[in-house]
Amino acid sequence: MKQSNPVLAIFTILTFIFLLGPLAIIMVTSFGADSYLSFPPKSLSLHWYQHIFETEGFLSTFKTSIIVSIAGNLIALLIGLPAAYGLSRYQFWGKKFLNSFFISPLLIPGIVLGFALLKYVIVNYQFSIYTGLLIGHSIIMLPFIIRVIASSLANFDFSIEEAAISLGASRLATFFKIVLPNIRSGLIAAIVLAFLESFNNVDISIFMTGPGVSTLPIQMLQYVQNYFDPTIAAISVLMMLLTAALMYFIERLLGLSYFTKN
Amino acid sequence: MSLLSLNHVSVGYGQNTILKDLNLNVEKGELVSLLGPSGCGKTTTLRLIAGFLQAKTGQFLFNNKNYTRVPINKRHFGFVFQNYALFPHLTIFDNVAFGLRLRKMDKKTIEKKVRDILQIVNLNGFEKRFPAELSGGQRQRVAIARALVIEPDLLLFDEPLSNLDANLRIAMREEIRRIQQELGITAIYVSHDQEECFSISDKVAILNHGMIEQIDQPKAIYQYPKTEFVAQFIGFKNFITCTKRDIHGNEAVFSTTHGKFRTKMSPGTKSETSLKLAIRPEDIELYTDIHSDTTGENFLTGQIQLSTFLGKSYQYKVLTPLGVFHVNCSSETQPLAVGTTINLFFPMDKLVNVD
Repeated sequence: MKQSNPVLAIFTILTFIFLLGPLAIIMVTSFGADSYLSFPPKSLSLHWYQHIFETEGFLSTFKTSIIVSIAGNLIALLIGLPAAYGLSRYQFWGKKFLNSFFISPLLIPGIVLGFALLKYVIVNYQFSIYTGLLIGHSIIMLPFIIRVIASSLANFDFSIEEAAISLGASRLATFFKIVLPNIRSGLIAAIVLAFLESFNNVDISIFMTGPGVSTLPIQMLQYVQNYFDPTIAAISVLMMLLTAALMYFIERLLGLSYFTKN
Repeated sequence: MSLLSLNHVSVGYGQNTILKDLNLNVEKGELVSLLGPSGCGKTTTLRLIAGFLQAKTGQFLFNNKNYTRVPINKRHFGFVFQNYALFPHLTIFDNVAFGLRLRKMDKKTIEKKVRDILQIVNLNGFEKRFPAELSGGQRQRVAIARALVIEPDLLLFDEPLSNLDANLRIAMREEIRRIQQELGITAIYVSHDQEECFSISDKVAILNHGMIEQIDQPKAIYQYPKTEFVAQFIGFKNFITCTKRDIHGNEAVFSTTHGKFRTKMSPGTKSETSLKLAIRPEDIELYTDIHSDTTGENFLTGQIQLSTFLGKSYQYKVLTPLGVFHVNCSSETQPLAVGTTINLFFPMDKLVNVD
């Protein structure tokens, strides 16, 4: 039985307007024909979408963003997957500390982390900017990878791992044949969430960009400092679409897994 | 030489000892149960044999080879888990075939072996289903098939039936016994259910505080428990503490502060100092008429304190000079009133001398 509460309904609608209103405005502006951001636009055009591809910097930084997000994701997975497994599977001294340690990049302000990375990775140790960018992004992705995979492993029955080993499988084979397939949805969710975190990141990237190396969000930031045309709105719409597509993908995946389990 | 022997094995974490100086021998083709209250070390013993745990001291010999440090996946033992532990992402066929594929068998052999074993556990036709689509009893049969199909040198059961309902438990334990005998496989079975262990085992080992109190054939344990703990565990509720024991041939006379008790000497000699007698509530006879025939050796007078209806019998709590005794009487007779003075008779062949 459903009960409708008019006050609650109004609040809900207001909250949605508050959250989605700016996005809707950006979407509409991106189709405007004027050479400055205006709402509502006087006439419609796809010109600014075309302009994204004609402007120097957007495509190349998009490529950098994608490469850094994917490579950083791999690095974070390489560290995070074994870490999440160890933290879920075993009891050991210092486990609580390690748990908080791996979450710490989420708690430290991005600016602080970015500056620290700049100071040590680039200035002190003279790594290339690209390496610094990759390290920084791996670090901010790590908490997502570990948290999501660990919560997936929390529901994993480790006796099936023992069953596989008792049937003759090695520990490594068991991990790939038994553990991974059973935490697949968590694994994919972790990868997608970490990817989005990295792809949209500004506060770390801003310290880790320089001549020839920049990410898309940083390029956008620089663009709006100089120009005030709807190109930025058009890119924003494309980024929203990418994010929405990935979120929809996770939702489908995790939503479906509830029906296949148990 | 036994197929399996644990020699002076101990297991513990830090200060905590779980098994201390455990010895166990299992012959080829036997089904041996490990029975005991929770925390007695039965599952630990099983996991040690499987290789999930390492012994702190002692030796594990299997087939005359030292298995103490052999890793789990090289032992070639089958393990049946309490919660089945089927692979949720694989079909029944793939679950059963898992161990065979690791042994790099060709496709045809695998298919035949899986089909044959599913036939044995009465699950043919279920190949394409997933574990979640099966009932508890079916899942456990898949788990048994999966462990059996690799033709293990030893089959280990860790309370395999405790998640099933009562009727299914009985059917499944018969099934387990049938399969074990049909394939002539050596098995170790852990349970806390006494009836389950007694009904399917060649031998039962009763564990307490990380040690085996007694290991013997079920009937022998049932009739002649060796220690007070074993006696209590298998339903001896009444104990008499005596002051002196005199042996006359194959009989012994125990003296107490209130009368003498004569028993047959039980197999397995007891030490001079074991002065305890045990008897089940249903083995004590009860007399309401007190005269010279119902006094003397093996008799004790007492007063009914409490009467409880148990279904097929009444249980009386009888207060005697030697303590409280529990006596079961057929419920077909008229129940006796609380306060009635009665005579208890302890039949010679039902009174067991325990440590």
